[in-house]
Amino acid sequence: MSVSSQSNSELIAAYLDAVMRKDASVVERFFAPEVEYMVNGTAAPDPAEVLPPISAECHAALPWLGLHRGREAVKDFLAHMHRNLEVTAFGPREVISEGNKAAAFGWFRLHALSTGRTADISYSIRFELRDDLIVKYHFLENTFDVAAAFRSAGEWLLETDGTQHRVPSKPVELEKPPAT
Amino acid sequence: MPTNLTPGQMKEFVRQHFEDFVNKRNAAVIHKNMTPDFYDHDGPGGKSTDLTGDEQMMVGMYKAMPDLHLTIEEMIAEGDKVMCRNTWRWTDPSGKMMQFHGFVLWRFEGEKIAERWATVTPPAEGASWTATPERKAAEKRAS
Repeated sequence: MSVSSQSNSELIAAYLDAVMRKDASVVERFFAPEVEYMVNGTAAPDPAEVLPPISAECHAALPWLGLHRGREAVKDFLAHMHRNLEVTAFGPREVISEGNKAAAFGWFRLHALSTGRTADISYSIRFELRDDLIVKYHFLENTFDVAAAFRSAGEWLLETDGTQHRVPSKPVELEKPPAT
Repeated sequence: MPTNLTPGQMKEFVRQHFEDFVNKRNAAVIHKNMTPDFYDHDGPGGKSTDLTGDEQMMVGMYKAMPDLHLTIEEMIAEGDKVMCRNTWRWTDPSGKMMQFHGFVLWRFEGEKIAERWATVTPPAEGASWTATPERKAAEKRAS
């Protein structure tokens, strides 16, 4: 059974509100038992070339990234993530839906527990819904800013445009995205 | 100001914008397609920017990624907004096939784009530019 476009926008808004309230029942209430829950991309090759690849380095820095199948895997992911970071605030968000698909865009404030550093991170989420439950969830964020929040020491040496660039060892102060 | 475009017209507008702005290397088209006070919440480096900032970013990408190609995988439209799921592919100087994926949200005013939000995956090596039967089937299921 499919639900109306308006209902899907409302459902996603209710889900995001529950996340903001840190509602512990959010997984059971909003996700289908067989949910496919993707955080950024996967370091495992996808033969169909549909799932976004992420590098081994990115996955090593942020090991909770990847594909999580089923409610229990989502709960494990959330527990893993919350051992490392706390989300202390959410900015304004935009939600749209069409048919059984929806999307949300916004930003959240991340507090890295290991460094005590705080950063405001833009995010976007793509949803697929069935019978008022989320069956596919794909979350994207700025992984550079997230990794920077967890950087404990040392400089980063990057090579782009044929030139080496040094990200200094002093933590980069990240700007808060503008209110919308 | 609300838009007077239908969801289908907004999707076609965005599809043509990406085709010109990315695949046909026409950075200046941004001045035709966006409102003069266009606001990009997620410009280069994650900072907000305007028409000029996005135009300069794109010119830089043409130089750094001469064979850059964008594929729109999916679009969602409601009200005055369109969301796109995109894949960007290019060949790096060592010959590696690279890609990143992105979600972009556009807000329309009148018949132009007035705001943009975006998030992308970090660039990573991708398997191929050519759509395999498996990939085509998966995209068909996703659309």
